[in-house]
Amino acid sequence: MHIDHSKLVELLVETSGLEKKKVESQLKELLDEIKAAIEEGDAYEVDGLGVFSGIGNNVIFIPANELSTEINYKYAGMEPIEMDDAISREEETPQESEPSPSETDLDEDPFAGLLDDVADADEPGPHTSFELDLDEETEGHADDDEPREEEAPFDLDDEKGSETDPQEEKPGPDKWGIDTYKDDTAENMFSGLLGKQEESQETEKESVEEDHFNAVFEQEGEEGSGDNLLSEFTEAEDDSDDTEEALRAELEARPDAEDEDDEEEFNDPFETLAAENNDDEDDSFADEAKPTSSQEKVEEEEEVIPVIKNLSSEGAKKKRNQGAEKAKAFEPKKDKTKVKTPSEPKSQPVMLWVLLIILILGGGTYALGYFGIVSIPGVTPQPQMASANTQTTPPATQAEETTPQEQQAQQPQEDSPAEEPAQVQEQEPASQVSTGGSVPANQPAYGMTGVPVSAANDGYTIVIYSLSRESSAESRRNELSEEGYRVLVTTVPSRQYGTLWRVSLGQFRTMRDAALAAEELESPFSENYFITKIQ
Amino acid sequence: MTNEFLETLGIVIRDQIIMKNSVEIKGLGTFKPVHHNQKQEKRSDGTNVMMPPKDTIEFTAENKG
Repeated sequence: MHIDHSKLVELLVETSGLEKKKVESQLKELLDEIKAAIEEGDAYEVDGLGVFSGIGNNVIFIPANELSTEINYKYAGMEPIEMDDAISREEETPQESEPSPSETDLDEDPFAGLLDDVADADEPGPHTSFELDLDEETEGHADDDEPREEEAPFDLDDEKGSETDPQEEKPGPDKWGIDTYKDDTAENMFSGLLGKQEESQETEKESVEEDHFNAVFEQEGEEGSGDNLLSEFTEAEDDSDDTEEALRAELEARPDAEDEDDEEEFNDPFETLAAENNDDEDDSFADEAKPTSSQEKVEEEEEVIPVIKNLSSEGAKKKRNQGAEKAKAFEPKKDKTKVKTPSEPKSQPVMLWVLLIILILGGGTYALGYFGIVSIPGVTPQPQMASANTQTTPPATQAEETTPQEQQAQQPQEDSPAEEPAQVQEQEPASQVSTGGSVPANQPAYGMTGVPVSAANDGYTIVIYSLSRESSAESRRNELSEEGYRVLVTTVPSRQYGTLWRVSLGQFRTMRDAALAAEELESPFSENYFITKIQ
Repeated sequence: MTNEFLETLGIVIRDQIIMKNSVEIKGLGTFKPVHHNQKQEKRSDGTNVMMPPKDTIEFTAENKG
């Protein structure tokens, strides 16, 4: 898009907020100053824009650094990259078939995203120019001698190359056996394939070594050491790098496997105990084991295996001998442990007897108290009636009527309401029930309301008062009878409080019926009552 | 001619160059944005350098020649 003079003036007006004429006048003034400076051969600098200068009739413009930087803000952070390092790396490693993401590619990646802006078809692409330059460089290097040597490593003598360049020497199977004649450069080119060959060769070597060990172990197996041992040793050979220490470790890890066939089962736990127990026991029997020193063992082993000595077999023999010696050494230990066990609990029976006597005495006392033979507070059960809500709060009128002695007798009754049923049970034979004789026509035999009937005395009633005076009981009966209740007054003899008059409501066939009826009682009676059988 | 006007002129030209627009000042010349792709350059010391892309301002005088 082209911004002509008129559009520029509009933009200046919008940006500066000045009037158009003022903008045009100032712009004209600027142009006159620039032209005047150029005609005088001077340069004219506009801050933030650049320098105008004239060379002959031409006017050149050198933008200010600020402006150049600001128009390249989207390329900020991109720095020139030296390409020689990447080229030299590629030349140093020509064997790499694929230039897997090298630093050059990585460095090119940041610019790759910006190549979308490329519009000029005249300019060659970066990659193409880079490739052309590389070709030029290779051509330029072709004149020299050194690059030829680097580019043609196959023509060089391998031995010389290995001798002259120490970096190309590689430890391992390259210097062994059939691999010594191998071409190093070919190895580099086909390192993957050679890796497989090396593995196969190593497996061959291991198989040869296994054959030797198998021959040895087969002899041992024939001599009586079990097939499992052979398999274990062969596995050990597969895993370890045929070192003595590894074989010893394997043999030490599996000492019991050999002894399973030779020894009985009851010896194994003691072997494990010997392994687990402290070293003191081992030292105690070590003197017995030391006389059979390594030389004697070697002689015995030589007798057993005359041809080939193998550390694994020696270790196995040693372990077997040690296992047998340990088994022998720990046989008397069993007796010691058996002897020691009964001598330990000497003081325990006394304590047990004391505890047993205490328990018997305590249990007996509790039983006596529980069954009432001996009265023990908190232990002896106190008989309670079902729904043991006793009437212990006598009305105020009754307290006024009662004598001081009766109040004293009534006070403990309030404090210990549970004692009343026991007293009642004790004095039940002396109780009396004052009820009517026949059942009225309009009244059921059992119920809360109506007139008490003697035929319903075989049932249950709800006691609401326990009074010490008969007059008080009679007054309550009258009041309740007027309200329509079926009121019963019974006398209960009490050794402590004399005769008590109980005022109860209703006659019920079962205790369940009485309980259901008691739930319907009003406030003063519903809070403190109990159900008892009519006497 | 005030400094504010000069500052505003620089801002307007800058913005239009960034937007790939050419700016013409009648009686002086035209400011034109030019994009330079990344390219490999060979320095005087023989080292090859990959130069990043950049944008420049190209000024063309009106009374050229």
